[in-house]
Amino acid sequence: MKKIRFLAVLSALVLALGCMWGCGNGKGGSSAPASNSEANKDGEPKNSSASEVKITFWHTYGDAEEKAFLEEVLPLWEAAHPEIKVEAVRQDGSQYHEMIVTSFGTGMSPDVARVDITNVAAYASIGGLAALSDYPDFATVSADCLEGPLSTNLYKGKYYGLPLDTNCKAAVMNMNVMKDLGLNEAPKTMEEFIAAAEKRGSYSLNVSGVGDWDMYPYFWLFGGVLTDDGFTKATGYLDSAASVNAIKKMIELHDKKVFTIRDIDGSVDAWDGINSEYAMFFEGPWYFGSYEDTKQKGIEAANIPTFNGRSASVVGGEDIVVFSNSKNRDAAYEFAKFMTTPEAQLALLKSGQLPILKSLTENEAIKSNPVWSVYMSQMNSAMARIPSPNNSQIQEIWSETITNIFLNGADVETELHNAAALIDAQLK
Amino acid sequence: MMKRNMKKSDAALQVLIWVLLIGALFVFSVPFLYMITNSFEEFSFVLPYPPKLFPTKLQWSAYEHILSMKIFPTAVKNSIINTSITVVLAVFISSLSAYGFAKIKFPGRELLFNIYLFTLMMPGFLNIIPQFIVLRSMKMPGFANGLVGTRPGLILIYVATNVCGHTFFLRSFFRGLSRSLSESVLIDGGGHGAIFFKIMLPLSKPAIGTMAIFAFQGFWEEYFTAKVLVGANEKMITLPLLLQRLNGEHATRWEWVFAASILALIPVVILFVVSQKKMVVGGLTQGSVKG
Amino acid sequence: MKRVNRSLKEFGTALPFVLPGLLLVSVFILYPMLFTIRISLSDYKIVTGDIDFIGLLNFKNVFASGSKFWFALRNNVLYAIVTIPFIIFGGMLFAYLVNNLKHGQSLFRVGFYLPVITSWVIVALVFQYMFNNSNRGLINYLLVDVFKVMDDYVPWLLREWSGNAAIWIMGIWKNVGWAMLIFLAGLQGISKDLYEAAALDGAGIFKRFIHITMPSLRPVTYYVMVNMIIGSFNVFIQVLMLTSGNPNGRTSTLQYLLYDRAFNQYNFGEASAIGLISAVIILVVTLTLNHRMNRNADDTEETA
Repeated sequence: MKKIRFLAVLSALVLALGCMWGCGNGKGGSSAPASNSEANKDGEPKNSSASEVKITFWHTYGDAEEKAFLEEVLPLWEAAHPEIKVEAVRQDGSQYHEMIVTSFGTGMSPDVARVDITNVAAYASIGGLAALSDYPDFATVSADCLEGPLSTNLYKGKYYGLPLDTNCKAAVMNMNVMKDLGLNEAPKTMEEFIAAAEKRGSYSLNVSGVGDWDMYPYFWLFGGVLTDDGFTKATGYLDSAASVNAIKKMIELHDKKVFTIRDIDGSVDAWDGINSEYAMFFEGPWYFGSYEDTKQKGIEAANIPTFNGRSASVVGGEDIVVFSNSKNRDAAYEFAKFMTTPEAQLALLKSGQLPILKSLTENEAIKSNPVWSVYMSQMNSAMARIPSPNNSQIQEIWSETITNIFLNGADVETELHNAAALIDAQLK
Repeated sequence: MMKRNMKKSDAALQVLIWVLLIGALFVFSVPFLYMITNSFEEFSFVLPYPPKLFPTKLQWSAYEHILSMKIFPTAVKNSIINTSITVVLAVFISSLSAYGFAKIKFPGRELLFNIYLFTLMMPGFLNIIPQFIVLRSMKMPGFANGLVGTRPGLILIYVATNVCGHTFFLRSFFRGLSRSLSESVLIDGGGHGAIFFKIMLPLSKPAIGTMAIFAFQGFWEEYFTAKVLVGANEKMITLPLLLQRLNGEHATRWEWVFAASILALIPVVILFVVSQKKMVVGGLTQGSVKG
Repeated sequence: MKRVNRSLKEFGTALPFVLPGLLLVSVFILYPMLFTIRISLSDYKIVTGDIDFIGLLNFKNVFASGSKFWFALRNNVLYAIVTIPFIIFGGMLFAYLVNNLKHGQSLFRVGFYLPVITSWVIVALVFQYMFNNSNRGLINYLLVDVFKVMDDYVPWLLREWSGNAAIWIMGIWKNVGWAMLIFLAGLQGISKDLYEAAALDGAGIFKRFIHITMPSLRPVTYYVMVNMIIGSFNVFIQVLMLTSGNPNGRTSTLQYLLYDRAFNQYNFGEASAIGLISAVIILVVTLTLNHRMNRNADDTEETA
């Protein structure tokens, strides 16, 4: 009896295993590695005019951006490259990263996609992206790209994408509250702002959270340093006296009730509080894209006030990357290049996507716009986050450190010292 | 006299129960009230202050926005088709399995059933990559990528992921059903097929109905699998996917999200209201859970 | 030999019933599960699909990953300990009260069941707003501004214990209705005679609840409990949407950790290991429970 029962279960397992075998073959036969070789086979020698190719482009554009893309950019592309058909797929922002990671495992990646700059190094490090700098014309193509955005595509000496759009944080100021503080125009220096805000006794400056995107601008503004210039080492930089002082400056402002961290203090969200109680917060250009009536409310964009004569900000934005699974890599690269041409960049600018070309920074469309011009000039002092495949771990180390300092009152020197050691390990 | 007293205390008791339940129900409704109220607000990306629990105005613009989205009818259509086909298939296949496990002795039954149970304990979303690969390997004429990105593919996965759970639920129910009835059929020369279709299915309508409602609601709100399998195909968009799309890249109009949520909730509520009276009447108690 | 024949025959009888489900389960559940088990013992390169056997290294890494894993496990266990009694007792009580109503049963069945049919994502959104910090959140507004129970606004979702409490409250709110429905079904199976006899003995409604209803509902309770234990180890969306595990992983759970390992660190090996660990924990708990429940329940084995 026992034996037979065993037999039954065995047959069930065999069924499952059989399938595993079959599908294992499926995976081995037709998925990732195979499609790579296929790509090499029929991708390399082919001349793109041979027959019509279809490539898939994933993006997370919102309504306005999608409209600009479909109505202006895509027709331009179709006119220039009738032989390559682009199928644009709009994905929602949440779970986008998960979709891409899953597609690596299933071999069903798109050919080309718009991805957040902070993910490029990680995607490249697991082999998901094609190195675009292997193309002979890459140097010429990328020559006109702004340095900061371009550098986000760099991983181990190769470029795995082209910058697509850029942004940074600039100051969002409520001029009415500023007036209450005794400042009749946008403060040019942080010293001036702090002196005015100190007297008030309630928070004037708000930051949402403890993450890198939120905190780096303040950290840099007050003189902090993350790593050496080559992003190889945090010890000696993150725990330097300058960095310790930067954090201590933030603690001092926090204690004086000038500066509040929403996720630590539980204070009112910046987008809400800027209408009434806060004088200033730092945000990307989308804040102004979301409201038409900011001017009436007295809310304006301004450069982040300088501290010790220096402004600071953090670079954001998206890159366009080609996937190593793509069967039409050349066509995909062609499209990526097209997206960085001045025509495509200017069309997308209309929906608020700031261009990544040096030749467009002085463009009339930007200069005449009170918001875009501020952001483009802020770009000069904006720095990139550490470009590392372990970006998410580094982010976590940073957030935990800041949480420990501000929430649990941990010692700044010790915390930064430990964090530097942990980040060193991630940079190896 | 005695009888009248009983009646009086009975009535008092009914009132007491009503009061207790109404109180509890109010507390339970708070999140819904909040949702409904806020769907009538105009958020402009920030929450209204002071927070409101009851609507002060009926402003339908958020609903109008959702209903006028070009993709909304497609999402409704897909959600209805996917969910109904899935429910019918899942419930039918699971009832068959459950009957097999409950009423037919076969070697390895307990072990196999325990394996089914164990699968319920494994976190599901690790399965997505292998499932995807299996679907892709099911190449057929007309389906270049196998069943990836297609309705049949999505439905297959949905049905499969629910067979174990439904079998667990229905088996308990079948085991509780009396033996004598089925024995009479066996004596009359009918096989298990006859027992299943003529006795078990009719007798278990309430349980199966209950199961179907549970299933319906689960598939109706399913997001992750749909996103991965058909997310790249606009024509296959479902309501939960549409809902996520309302989340902006940097900021979200919450009144839209809430309005869409309420619209998506309506069919499930109607279904439940209509069917709740007929749901599981007895049966679950006996021998229900001998896992 | 006869035995073999008989077994084969039994097998043949069962096959038409079991096979369709078994096929689907084998292909789409068991195979992926074996795959997961294999990955948990391997270094899995997601893009190339390379799988290198590395033994128990992933498990070792998970256990050695510092407090993260233990906080997550603790939170799953706490979630079970806190929410399950509320869900079971609340569900049973509501079911009993509703069942004793002469009019309006439907209203309460639907009312209490509404949270169950609302999607987790939507529910999490609403809770995120109710527990919002400062005075914009409904809970803070009620506690501080309306009822003046507290002096200061609580940043609910940003602290270890208030964050966990929000996750628990949401779990209870979402599941009580389901338990109620199952218990309502169970109540139909209790013989009326038992209650009548007790009523003649002068037992009031609550005495009857404790002495008749609760014991009679034992098997159903077990069913609810198993489901809720499995649920407790699958807590995920609440964490993702309410607290993201903040501060510093103190409100994280195993599923959230798994998700983070897989999608943020591309470490599917460790993610699979976490999945297996949680499955084994659930299995052990369920078996222990099953053993204890079945000890006094009589065996009603059936054959056809």
